Amino acid sequence: MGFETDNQAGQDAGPPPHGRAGLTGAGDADLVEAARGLDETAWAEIYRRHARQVYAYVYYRVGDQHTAEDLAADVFVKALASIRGYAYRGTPLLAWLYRIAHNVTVDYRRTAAKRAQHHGGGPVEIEDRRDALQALDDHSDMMRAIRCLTEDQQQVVILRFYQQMSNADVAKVMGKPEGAVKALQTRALRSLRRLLVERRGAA
Amino acid sequence: MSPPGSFDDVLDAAIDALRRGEPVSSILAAHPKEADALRPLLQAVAEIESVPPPPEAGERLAAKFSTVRASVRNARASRAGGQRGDGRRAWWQRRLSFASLSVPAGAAAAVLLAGAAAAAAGAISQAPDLPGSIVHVVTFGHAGEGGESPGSSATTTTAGGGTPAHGAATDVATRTGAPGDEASASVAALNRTPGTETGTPAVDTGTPGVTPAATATSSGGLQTATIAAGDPVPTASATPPGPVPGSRTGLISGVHGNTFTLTSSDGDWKVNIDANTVVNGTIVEGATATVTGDITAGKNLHATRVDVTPPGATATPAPGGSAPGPPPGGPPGLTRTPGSRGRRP
Repeated sequence: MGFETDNQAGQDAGPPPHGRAGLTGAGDADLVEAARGLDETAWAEIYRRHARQVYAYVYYRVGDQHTAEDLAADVFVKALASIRGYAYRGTPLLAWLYRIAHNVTVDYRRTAAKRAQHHGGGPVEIEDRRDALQALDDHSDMMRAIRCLTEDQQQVVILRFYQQMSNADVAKVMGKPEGAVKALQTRALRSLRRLLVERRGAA
Repeated sequence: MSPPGSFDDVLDAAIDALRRGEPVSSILAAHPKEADALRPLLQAVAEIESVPPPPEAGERLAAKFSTVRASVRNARASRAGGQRGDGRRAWWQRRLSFASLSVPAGAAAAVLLAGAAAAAAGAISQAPDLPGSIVHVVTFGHAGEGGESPGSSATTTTAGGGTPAHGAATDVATRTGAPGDEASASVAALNRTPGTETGTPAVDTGTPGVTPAATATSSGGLQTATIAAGDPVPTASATPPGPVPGSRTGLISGVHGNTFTLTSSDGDWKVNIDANTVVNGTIVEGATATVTGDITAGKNLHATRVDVTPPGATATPAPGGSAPGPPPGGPPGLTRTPGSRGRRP
């Protein structure tokens, strides 16, 4: 699954269910223009189309549903704050939202790590607690390993393998050349492999 | 970045082949040199993709749109505020401009006071010799009325000036059923409480500081939308301690900063507007306005919404005092005039 094309709207990516008739079928360019004018229905439509994808992306980064839902909403608030500086140049709006989601997630993780250190624990402790809650999840090893990757590597893995995006699309989201994304992909897979072997070996 | 034909490219091609359903053995056979390095990485890819999708986002994610919507309204109010003369300046710049006026004024006052004190001291010391010394009365006045900063205009028009603090409850109370405002209606539907559905007194009016219970007690269970224009108004003595939601229609007979006088069938009302007030139209003397808001003591009305009909046009008060919908064909509040008063986010 790559990006939606400019006019491939109406895919129910999230609520609210209604949008102004003129915007439900609007392409990204029109939607961005209306959103820049602080049109409420435009933002409702953007949220409807992309909230679920943003939520899924954030979920893979943080591993908690409620946190992911909160952060997903934060992504749109941040998008609103910077929409005036955003110029639509053909790159899908979702790419921009993923970029914001990346920054929001990084900020969240930093804050969580600082808070954990302030309370005497560490980020590792948080992971351990989270993993304890996910003990029944057969795939927690993989999720934990992914969250041990660098921020860029995590982004590549999630977009490439969970959002099923092509390298070209991932490159658009990350603002990097495709070659750089491929290199990140290789390093990410090598790191994941090593982390999984270490964890399973230790267990 | 990797050069063309590098291991990164081979791995990428192998991943694409894996996605197309090709068996691992044939992929490895196609790249015999890199097979050993590829095998564990393709295995990792298979493991990554076997992780189940995240739990389906539920109603909570839908409800979270209220945060976004509140931010949109806040930004709109802020942008409207930015169009005012001094709205573009930061708070410290406004303070500085105030200080630049007040410092010379203060210095002049100090000189006058010092002179007066010296004169008084002289008068006292020479009292036996000079009876009937002159006493100077020094008065200081404000440059503007009502504490308005320079550059603010009476003809302010804001729209959608909601703040996050008001949240969804405000919108449910004032916008539910507003024709043409589908986004708001849909979000209102997402956030609607049972109280709103039934119209019971439990509906929150969104008025800061007024609890639903207080609203119900003071207004006998009537909401803003159910108090018709021209209803009897509690007198100052009969007005309960808290504000009472109400609506008045009348003629704008005077505009002073953020207040204006509304002459309705039951007398003159002093109407206050603020950054959260939704104003449709331009508040000018001679125009007809329907004001919805909170009645406080002494015929004061704190407006949450003002619908203005320009002078000469036919007034169309909101039916039952309820908030009318936005103009058709456009979202609410996109027609603004400069000089609106907005709150910074």
